[in-house]
Amino acid sequence: MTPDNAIYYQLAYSVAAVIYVGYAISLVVRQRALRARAAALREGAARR
Amino acid sequence: MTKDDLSERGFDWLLTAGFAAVAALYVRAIWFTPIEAMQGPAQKILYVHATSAFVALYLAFGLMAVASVLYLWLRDPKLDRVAESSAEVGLAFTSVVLTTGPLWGKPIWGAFWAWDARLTATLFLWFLIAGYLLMRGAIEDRHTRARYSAVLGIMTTLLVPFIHLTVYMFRTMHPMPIVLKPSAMSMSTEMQLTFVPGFFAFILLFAGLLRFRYRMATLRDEVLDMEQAR
Repeated sequence: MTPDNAIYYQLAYSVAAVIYVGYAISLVVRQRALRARAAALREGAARR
Repeated sequence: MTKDDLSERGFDWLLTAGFAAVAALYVRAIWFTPIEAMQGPAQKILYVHATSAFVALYLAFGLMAVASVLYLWLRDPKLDRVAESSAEVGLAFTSVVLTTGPLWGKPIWGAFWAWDARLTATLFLWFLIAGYLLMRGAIEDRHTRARYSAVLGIMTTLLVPFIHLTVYMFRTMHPMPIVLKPSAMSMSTEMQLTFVPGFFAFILLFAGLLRFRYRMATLRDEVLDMEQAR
């Protein structure tokens, strides 16, 4: 008889999605912070 | 909204395509792939676990090693950024491997974890890559950091062929390779129609994440140059 263990693959698929999406979000957040820093530095350089 | 506006907001076509391909794989695996009779639905973990492992071990860390070797030869900072980006994206893929694997092991082996050669070596690889990234953050001088990282990256990648061979060299609970072996793939045609495109979906996701991470590293170096020029 085929075992009923669907909960494990549902959990695995959810965990994988959280890791990949979470990592992509962390990249977007870090990139935005860097862009803001670069813009501030360019602005400061233009003023001087 | 123009292409530049979208890019300014952090939108990336390649990354979106990668996530769309993985979402399509999820749909195909969950609703259109038969359940394996002996293992039950838990066997479907393979479509995420083995594909992520392939990308992490052979693609991400392979690229990290090649870029590191080329850096030591050519001293091009772009190669250091490729190695760094590939290591970080590879770490995310290895994290998926190390979490989905135990979720397959529990219903099939009866335990989430076993200190067997394949699992333990993969865990060590995760720690080494995490150490590689932490070391990068601890060294301020860019050239020293790149040189040390290249050496550590090459040494770390030497663990990959060993991980591949653990199932042949040791008595291990981990299943034998399904794809990277001399004989034909050991699964039904219907399952292959999910498994094989799954590799391409995760390769596309890897490419999207890698390009995004590489661009971020380039921007970070530009910011550092501007700060030093002040």
